[in-house]
Amino acid sequence: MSSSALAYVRRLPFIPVVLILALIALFSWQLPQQGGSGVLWQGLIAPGIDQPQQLLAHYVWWPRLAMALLAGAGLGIAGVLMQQLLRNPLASPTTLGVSTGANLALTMATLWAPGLLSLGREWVALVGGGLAVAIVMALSWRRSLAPIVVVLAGLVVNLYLGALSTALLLFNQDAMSGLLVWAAGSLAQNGWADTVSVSWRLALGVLAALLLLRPLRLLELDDASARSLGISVRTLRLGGLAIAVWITATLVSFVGIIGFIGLAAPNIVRLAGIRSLSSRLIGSALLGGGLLVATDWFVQSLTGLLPVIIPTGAVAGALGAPLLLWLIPKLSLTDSPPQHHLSPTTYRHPAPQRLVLVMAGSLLGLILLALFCGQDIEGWYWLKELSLLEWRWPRVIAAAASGLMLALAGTLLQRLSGNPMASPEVLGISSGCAIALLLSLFVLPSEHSLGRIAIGAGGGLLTLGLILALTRRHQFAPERMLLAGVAMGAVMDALVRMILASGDPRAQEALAWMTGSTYYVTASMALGAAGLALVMVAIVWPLQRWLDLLPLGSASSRALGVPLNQARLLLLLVVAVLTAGATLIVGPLSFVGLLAPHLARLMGLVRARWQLLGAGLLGTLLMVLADALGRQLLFPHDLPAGLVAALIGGAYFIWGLRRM
Amino acid sequence: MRRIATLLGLLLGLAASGWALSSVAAPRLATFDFALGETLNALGHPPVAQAGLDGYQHYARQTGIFPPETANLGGRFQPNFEYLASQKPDAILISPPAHTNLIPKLTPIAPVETFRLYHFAETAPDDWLTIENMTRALGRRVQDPHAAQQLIMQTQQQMDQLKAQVAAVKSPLLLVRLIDERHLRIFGPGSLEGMVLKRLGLTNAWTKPLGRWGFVQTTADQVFQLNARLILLESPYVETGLQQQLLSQGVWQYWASAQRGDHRVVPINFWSWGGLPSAQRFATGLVQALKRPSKAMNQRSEEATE
Repeated sequence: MSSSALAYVRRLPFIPVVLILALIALFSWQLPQQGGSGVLWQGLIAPGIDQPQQLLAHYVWWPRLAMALLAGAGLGIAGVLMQQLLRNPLASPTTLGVSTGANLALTMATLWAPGLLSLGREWVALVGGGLAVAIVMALSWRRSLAPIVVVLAGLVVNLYLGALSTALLLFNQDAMSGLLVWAAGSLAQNGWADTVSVSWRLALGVLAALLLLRPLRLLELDDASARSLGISVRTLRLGGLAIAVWITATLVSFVGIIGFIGLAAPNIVRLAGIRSLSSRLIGSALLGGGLLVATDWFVQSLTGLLPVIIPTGAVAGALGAPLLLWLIPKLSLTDSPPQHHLSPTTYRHPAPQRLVLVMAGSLLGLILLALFCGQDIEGWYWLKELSLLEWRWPRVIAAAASGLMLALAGTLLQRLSGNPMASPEVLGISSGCAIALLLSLFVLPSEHSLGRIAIGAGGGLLTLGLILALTRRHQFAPERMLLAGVAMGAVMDALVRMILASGDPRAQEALAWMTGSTYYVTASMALGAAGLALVMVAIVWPLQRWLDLLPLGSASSRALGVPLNQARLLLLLVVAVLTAGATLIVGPLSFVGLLAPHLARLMGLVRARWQLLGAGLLGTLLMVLADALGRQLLFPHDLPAGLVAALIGGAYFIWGLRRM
Repeated sequence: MRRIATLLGLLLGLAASGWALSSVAAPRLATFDFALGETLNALGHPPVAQAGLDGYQHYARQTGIFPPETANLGGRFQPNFEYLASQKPDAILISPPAHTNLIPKLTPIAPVETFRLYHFAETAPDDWLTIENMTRALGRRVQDPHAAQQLIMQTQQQMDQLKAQVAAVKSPLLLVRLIDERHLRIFGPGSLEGMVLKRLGLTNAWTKPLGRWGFVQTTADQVFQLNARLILLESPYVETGLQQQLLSQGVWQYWASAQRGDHRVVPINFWSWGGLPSAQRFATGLVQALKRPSKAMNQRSEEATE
């Protein structure tokens, strides 16, 4: 007994203790600001109409505390449910795309069908969140919901839905300023109405979860054993997920996206050695509530210092990411056996030269179209004025160069990890560049493009270094590297939401860049990008042998004489530079790095040489096309190339993923 | 509304007569900033191209103030270069810090002229003077200084009249836009709202720091205890009556001003960083609102305070 208690204490991470101390400290900071315990108490039970501090306590402070507790607890419960149902320690409202889906649905409803919202915001959110999860499930179904595939699909769906929201935002910014504050996850309250609505909706969800408690417990066995005990695993999963989505959608519709609590709380509870499902539910609810209250009190102590609303949900996301990074080495993920997707049995094109030549020909034709065709106030035209070229060639060249760089980076990563879903976007290198650049936009007084390149590359390299350091112990296992990507993506997302919610007009510049517009590209930048792309091609080309051998797995490649660690390091460095260069121009959202190598392989370009060529050409093609469409389609308005590429490429990718 | 219409008519008439006097063809000016654009328009020399035309006109509820020949360059922050170049402007007018990152791409099209308008630092030059100077400079730029002088004098006269009408208003005013039932935006120095308040001799109740653009976004607890009369600015993007409806929720219904019933709703029909035409519109709307008799939400508490 005593030894097991000791083991329990040893396994108990310091987080709950730190959390309680932090809560005490933050509360003692809050108390005098709210007028002392007398005011708070009086405010809770019977505020005097002529006592402003008591009124504030009654209508603002207490409901906000209640909402933070409810939201944290709800997300903790939803997280445990999802993790139990999918047997996946990384499932959570944020990683499965529920929050993003709910957010997008509410945004669309606000813009186009405000009538729907009067039916109940949570229903709209429920549909959006449910659809997002359905897509994620559909994408990972054929891989029998393998944890890492689910998370990866969630990441891609998150990126895609985020891109859609951003596209809506670009054209409706004045109209959406209010929506932005909500979407960023502000917990500010004004009265008890929201708290009451959330409580009974959550209570319904929790009640339903309790009814499922017994069958849920049996899910800890594998599917076959559970089935032999008379459980329909599929029905159980569907029902359980519906409950988790209901809880999440309710919370999103009232307080916006709250990052990471739903992922962190259940995992910390599990690491603390709490095993039984009911204890994990209770523990996660308590911990989630505590974490969110602590975050919110921290945020409140900053309010007044800055002339902006600091959204607690986004802060939770930003603070939670390091927590996830810290958890990565501790999670007992069953590192799945290497997937030989690139195995020789894949379809091989009989004449790769001819295919590549056709691609090159189409690219040439497209570039001519992009340069000479267009729309103006009188309609479409061909070859109007040669002076237009002056505006177009830098954009076309820059788009082409960044498409090429992303495609190369993606090819390298996919061959390196043997994982067809690896890409700079997915690994968080793009996000790392973006974070550094966003911060520079607001911290540095003025920007120079050269300084920006350095900052962006620095951010990308730092991310890559971090990923390498974190996954070293696991021989740079791709699964763990992808997790770091999830964390970096979350930080970027949180940052963007904070900036947008601030209402600062500089947010527009950040937004334009985030969405990857070639609008700001100058001639020298375009030539620089093209030069960088060519240099990188020259570096990558001689490495074909490694790239052919690496997908065979570490043992085989080592046996065939690849200096594994050096090869990986060099290739990853190349990836960082390629990604930073491309991200600076087309932003972190495009899916080209994911899509181009994948498409090339589907077309039968299997060997490294042909995949590099094919992916490079396809990436260039896609980006030039996206840029041309973005420039001309909505004339005189400009749609960013990165966004158009993401919308085209992401849709194709999600569609194509079904078959993997 | 009719007063505004006659006023505009008067303005346009004056401007037109000024234009007729100038013999040289007016320069072709393109602008990305609405303060510059609407001022040029009011001087009777509308810009040949304006960025963000739709958004500006919708926000300021001034759809159709520009003549149809004015080219709409697309997004406010990303004007279409190809279209702009095809308009062959003689100069491109911008207002820093916005659009300064575009200067390298703009100079091959036409010289860029900058007008720094709203400052937010305490030590900054007076906004009103800055806007008047900008108006004068634009008048010189279109070789019609007379029109500029007319606009300035006419605005000054109008402001003096309006100021006299609200001389009795002593209580500080809090310029608020309720974003939703939980968040609000407050305007102060560095925005047109703050500038007009000062020009009319009214006091702004918000004295705490503001963002670089003359507004702050915050929550109820930060403003509830301010002693102020509320001026609620209604955005053109939400349905009429929403501000009043939001005010009845939660703690806001106990706001001293709401209790007294001396709060007022002013529809936004101006650009928040606009020029003298926007200033006239806001000042007129504000004074009209302040002169409206109180409709107390809570009759008893109003009697108690009076």
